[in-house]
Amino acid sequence: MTALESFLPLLILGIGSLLFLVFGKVLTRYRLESALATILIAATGYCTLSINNSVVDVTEASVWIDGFSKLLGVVLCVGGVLTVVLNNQVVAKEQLVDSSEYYYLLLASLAGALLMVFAADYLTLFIGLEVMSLSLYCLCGGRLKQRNSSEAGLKYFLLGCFSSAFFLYGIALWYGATGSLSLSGSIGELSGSPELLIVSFLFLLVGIGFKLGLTPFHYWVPDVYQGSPTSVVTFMSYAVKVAAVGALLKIVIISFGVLQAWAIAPLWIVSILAMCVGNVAALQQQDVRRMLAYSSVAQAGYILIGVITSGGSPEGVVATLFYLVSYCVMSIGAFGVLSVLGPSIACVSDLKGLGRRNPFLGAVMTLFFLALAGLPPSLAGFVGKVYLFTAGLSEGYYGLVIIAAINSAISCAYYCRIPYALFFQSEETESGSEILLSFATRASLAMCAFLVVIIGIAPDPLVLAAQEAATALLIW
Amino acid sequence: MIFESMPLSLILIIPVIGAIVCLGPWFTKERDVSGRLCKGWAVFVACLVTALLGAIVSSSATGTEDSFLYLEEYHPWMPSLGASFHFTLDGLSVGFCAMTCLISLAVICWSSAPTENKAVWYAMLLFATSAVLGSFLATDLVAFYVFYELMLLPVLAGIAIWGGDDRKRAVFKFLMYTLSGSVLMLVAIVYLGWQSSQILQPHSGVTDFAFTISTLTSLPTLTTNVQVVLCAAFLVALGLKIPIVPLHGWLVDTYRQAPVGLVAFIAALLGKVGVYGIIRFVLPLFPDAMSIFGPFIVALGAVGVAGGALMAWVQRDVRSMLAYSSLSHLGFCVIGIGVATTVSISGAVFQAISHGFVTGGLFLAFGRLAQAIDSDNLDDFGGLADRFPVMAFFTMILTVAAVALPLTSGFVGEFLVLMSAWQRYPGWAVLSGVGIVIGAVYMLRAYRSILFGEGPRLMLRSNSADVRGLDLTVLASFAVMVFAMGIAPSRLLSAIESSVVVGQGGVLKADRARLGSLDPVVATGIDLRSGFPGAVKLKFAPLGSAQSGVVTAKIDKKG
Repeated sequence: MTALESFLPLLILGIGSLLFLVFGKVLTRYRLESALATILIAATGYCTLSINNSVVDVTEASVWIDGFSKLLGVVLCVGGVLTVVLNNQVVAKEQLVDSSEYYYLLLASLAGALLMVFAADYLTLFIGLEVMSLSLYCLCGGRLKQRNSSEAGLKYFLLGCFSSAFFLYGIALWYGATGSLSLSGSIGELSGSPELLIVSFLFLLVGIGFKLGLTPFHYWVPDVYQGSPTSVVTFMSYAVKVAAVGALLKIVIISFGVLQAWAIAPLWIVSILAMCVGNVAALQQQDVRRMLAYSSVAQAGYILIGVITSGGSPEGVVATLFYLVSYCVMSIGAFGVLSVLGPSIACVSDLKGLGRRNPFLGAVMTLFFLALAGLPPSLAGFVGKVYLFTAGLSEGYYGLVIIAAINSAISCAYYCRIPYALFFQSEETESGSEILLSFATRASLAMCAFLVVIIGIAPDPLVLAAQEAATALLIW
Repeated sequence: MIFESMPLSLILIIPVIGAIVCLGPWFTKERDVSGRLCKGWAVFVACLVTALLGAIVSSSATGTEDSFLYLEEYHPWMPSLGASFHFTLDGLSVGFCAMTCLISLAVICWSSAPTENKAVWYAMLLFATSAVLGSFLATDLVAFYVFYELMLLPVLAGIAIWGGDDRKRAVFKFLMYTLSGSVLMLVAIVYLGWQSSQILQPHSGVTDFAFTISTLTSLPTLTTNVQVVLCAAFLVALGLKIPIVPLHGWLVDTYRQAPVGLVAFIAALLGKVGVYGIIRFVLPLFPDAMSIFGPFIVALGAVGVAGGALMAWVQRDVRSMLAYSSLSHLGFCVIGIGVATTVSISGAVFQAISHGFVTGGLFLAFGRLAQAIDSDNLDDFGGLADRFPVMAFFTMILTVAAVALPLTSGFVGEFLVLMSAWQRYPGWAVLSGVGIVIGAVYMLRAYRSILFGEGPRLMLRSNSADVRGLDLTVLASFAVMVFAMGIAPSRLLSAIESSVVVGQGGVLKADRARLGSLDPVVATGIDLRSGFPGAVKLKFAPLGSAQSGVVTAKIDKKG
């Protein structure tokens, strides 16, 4: 029974997603898809929350559910609910092949992300990664009639396969070095071959770095974010980050323990590269989605600061998780607004005067972009940065923190262009039609905005949850 | 009830609620609320805040000479990092807070509000008031930083909506200048908090961050090298807002592009947060670094006084002239900070508050006159005293205060600063004296060319009339403030001095005062643990219990 219970979240999502394939037409006809998807994801979240901490070993594939995986699992599910509710009108409009397939793939992808977060060995981790990614490849290319959507899907697929190969090779080397596929491995026994471990770590980092969009591996990010349906980008911008950061934290802390210099150096370089390249490239973008894509590269760089400092200290893990969660809310909000606005809004200049026409959208969008910039009053981003900087400084990474601080000042220059265009520039043509938002969309955007503000003002509950997660991770 | 438990937060929350109410109709279909209604509401809210501040002061003040006023309020914010919403109203902040309330009330009352989007205008002013008050009250470094950034946003929004033709450039210049300065301050703040945890840890056994100024100053000082680095980060960030001389690049653009009421708000209040921040945080935190930087700061201040005056002299644009004159007058605050004696600090604070009223009033008055002829160019004015006799009278009072005539508020601050600077830096004192003389030249010349002489070269707007009603009250109260502060400065000065305590006063720990009497170290705020008689009234969870509340939420570092 315990085995089943631990797999229950995954089963709900897995079997539930099949419902969309079987009853697709019926669901489409009665417009029940988003409601069903919401219920399924919410049920998954509830099950995740109510599982007792346990280890399950079914043949070789094993999942491990503790405070850490529960926190990330719940974040994934809450984000999933927000995304689905937010996009409930959009999916039909976005010229996807078949909206029931969209929900099938979305749930499958979410199941993959959950599996990554729950995974206790490398094989499970890899299966989760592939389930998540394969569904996303299809979703990205979902707007069949659009060339750039197909381009996004194909590009993501080809590069993604390549990076998966690296990841798999890393796993193989890990197996070679430790004789085990388990995340905790047994470095102590076979530590005679550190070269093998180094190469293994680097290959695993390449695989995860690709999913996170860290700098040397970020070339797909702007094209995919621009070309894919924005409702999909809303999902992948947070879900992939959560799953990949969760996996990276597990790899760094559980597998490699206290990080050696050879592990810190590449992380350090990648973090700085991601921050600098992401921000500088974002400065020059005119397209909002490309700008946000590059900004997500930079944000991944910030998160990496926490990962670097988390080798052995709970503060680093807490900071990483806190920033990760606040980033999820901000990015769901920011991409969600873009998704609601539709593909006709492409450039920053298309947003001119939008805030005056639709103050609600303008206000929430301003909150999200200020949060991304780390400016008050949406304090989630600011508090997250304070936690990251504290973790960095207390582990002695002064250079890293100063570079991050300078970068966050640079990033304000492009984030603030959005509120500026929204409210302070008047539109060139008066053709802008009224944007009609359903109650559900409004509610979930308002929820994101509320979270962005409240996480900053009362960060304590999230910090406590993150501390619990960190403890769970560190006692592995 | 709420007043008892959270009086200071109430001061900050009321304007925000007022602003949201003001903006409310904007989110509905009915956007055309009458400007008069909005104005009435905003005036009501601002009056409420001012009255509340008055009530707090009168209920907390003891009236004795050495302990004027002390009130603290504490709400945990990020318990695991020790950051809190920690507000303190004492002799140092009370003057700034009162000035903020009065200036924002004046700007709200002043009738040259933009003609469109009135609701947004008043909401913006109320937001900005709350943020500025927050930065004057916050004694937790992280909270201070948040308010310091927060006050930027409504102001930038105001410039972006109602600013002049070149507003985009002004907005981005202001934003980037301020942000690039302040992020390094954030790193320095975080470093301080972490450092405090390293020191506190052996005592309490857990990682215990502290960002509250009273806790931080009670810890042993940092090494000089570390102090110099951190202090430089703070000085750049705070000096940008004052501004200290090489950091004033944003000044003229911003002052020229901002709308009339807002520029008075910016000139009167924003720079003062920099002055206040340095006195409240930098001086007590980095005594060694400040004694190294002191001479340089004095030099920069004196160069600011003289150079600003020279620059103001050659301007043909009213706003640029007032911008450089601000640079010049605030140079005295900078000198006062650099000299760092009780007298010079009180002088600097006094000068900052006085400058708020004088410059705020001048910007409002000249702004009105400039609107009447649709030009900012000094050559276009002339002979306006005939049409605006009342305005001419009150503007004269503000002008003589700006040139530091005795019995006006401008005299007291500059005199105190010059006097204390003279003892240690006679050369720089002489240079700033020259600045005062040039100040008299350009201010009086500007006054003459605006209000006297031949009639204006441009046509007056048909609807331009002399001040009356609410506007007259505003100008009159500025004039009253200027004279009241000039004739009876002792009340404000004793309030300031009660909170600005020089090193050997028993407030500081021994290692803080080691520089001896020649090189006095200044501490502001009162260390609670020493039981200084200044701690008259404490309304907050004592530090000890607050920290123990944090402890339970911690993970042991070893665990």
